[in-house]
Amino acid sequence: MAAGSISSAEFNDLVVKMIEVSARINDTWVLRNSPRDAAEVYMEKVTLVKDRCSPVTEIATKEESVDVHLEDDTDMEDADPSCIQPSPDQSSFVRCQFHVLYSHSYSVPVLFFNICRPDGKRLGLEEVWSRVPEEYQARIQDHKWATITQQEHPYLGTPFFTLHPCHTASLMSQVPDATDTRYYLIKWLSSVGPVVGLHLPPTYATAFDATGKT
Amino acid sequence: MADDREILREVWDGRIPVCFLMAHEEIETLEEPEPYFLLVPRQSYFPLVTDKAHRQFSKHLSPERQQSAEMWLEFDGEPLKWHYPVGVLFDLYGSARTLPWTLTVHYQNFPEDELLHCPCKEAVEAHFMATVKEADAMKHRGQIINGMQKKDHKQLWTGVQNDKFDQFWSVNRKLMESEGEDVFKHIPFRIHQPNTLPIQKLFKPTDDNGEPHTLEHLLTFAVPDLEWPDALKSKRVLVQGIEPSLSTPLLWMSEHLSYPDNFLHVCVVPKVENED
Repeated sequence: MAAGSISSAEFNDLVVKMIEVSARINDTWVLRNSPRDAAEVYMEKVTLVKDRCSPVTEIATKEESVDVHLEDDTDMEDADPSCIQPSPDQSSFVRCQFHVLYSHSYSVPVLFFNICRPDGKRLGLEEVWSRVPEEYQARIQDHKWATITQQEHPYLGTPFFTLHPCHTASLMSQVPDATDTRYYLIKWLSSVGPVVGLHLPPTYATAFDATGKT
Repeated sequence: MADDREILREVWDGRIPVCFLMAHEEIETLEEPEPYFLLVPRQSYFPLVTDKAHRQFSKHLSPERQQSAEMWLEFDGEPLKWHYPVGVLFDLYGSARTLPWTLTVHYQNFPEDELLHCPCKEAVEAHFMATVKEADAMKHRGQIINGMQKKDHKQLWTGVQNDKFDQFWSVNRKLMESEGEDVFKHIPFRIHQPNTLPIQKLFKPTDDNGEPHTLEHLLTFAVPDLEWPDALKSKRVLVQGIEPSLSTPLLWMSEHLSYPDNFLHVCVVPKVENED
């Protein structure tokens, strides 16, 4: 495989491992199959985030967070029913949906995401751009249109935002231990996730070690 | 490729006669708008050609609605995906119908779950360039597109935007080179059928023995739930508005019948009985 890329078999393998780790550390990634081709797997995470109309900050994994129940969010797949506290400011939360798919064209993972208000309305492109954290704003300013745009989800067909994968391989080839594919997915997600407010707890790296050799 | 250059020109010059009609229930003035007729280039995208139609129809919206009006197009109940080239949309939905192809213009009830938003021309350019890059990733690992200067990328886009064949192809020919070391690794293609998502997979231009793959090989690989060529009894296979022989070499099709986004868009549509 070209430097910085992985095969689809490696991707599938890493996704399965990551889901295992996610379950163990009480994070909420789940495995999904493309409805049209069961061989295509991807992983999904749905999370509620406090929206300050500026950088998106994830509440953090279930084990650390206060579970929030939104009256009109009937879709909270992973809500913990034993821990419900009404939010003092419901309108300031948004629901983020993240999908990690494999791009056969680029041989790298690719991130698709949507951010919805409590009423279910999707955020628009400008709103998504403005929520990119300060520290990344400068980097994307000149390349906004080449970085995050709305696209048709390849498996679901519905509109999702996506982080363009064309620079992923070169980004990943610069990462230390790039040839150790065990950590590829975590390293990739740690690099690109924060741009869209998705943070990976450091426990993933150590938990991956604990899963044993491939 | 000298003779075949004529084909490139003919494909580029393809036009669809379109009649734009404003959705009757959305007209908010006493006077009704006239239909708007336009010959639309197959290789273009609707947001690039609807400015005049928009100016005409938006006058018939209430002043408040005019502020935030976002146009979307529909044919036969089907919202049209603006990010597909016009020719693909026509082959997919309109090819069996009489001309002009009559589209309904809407400003209300934007189908959020089906259509991407098109806030400005940059959105079309960004989508076009991303598709061109993806095609080159499949053909040349991205080496050719990434080796080009920004001005070359821009020229590809302005060639499409302004309908300038020479301007476009002076850059595009480098992306279409497929000899020696530059032979296409995989053929960028998308197969469109009504009511399903497009099919895109990795497929080589030749088989393991070096024999050229044909259109039939592609269809057998990518649309295996249909038997080929038997499926031609009930289906038409349209590429740039024509029905190529199934034995056409795939590489040749990729070089000559691709859209400006460098993808070979193939539409598989039901055959209809002769319309009166």
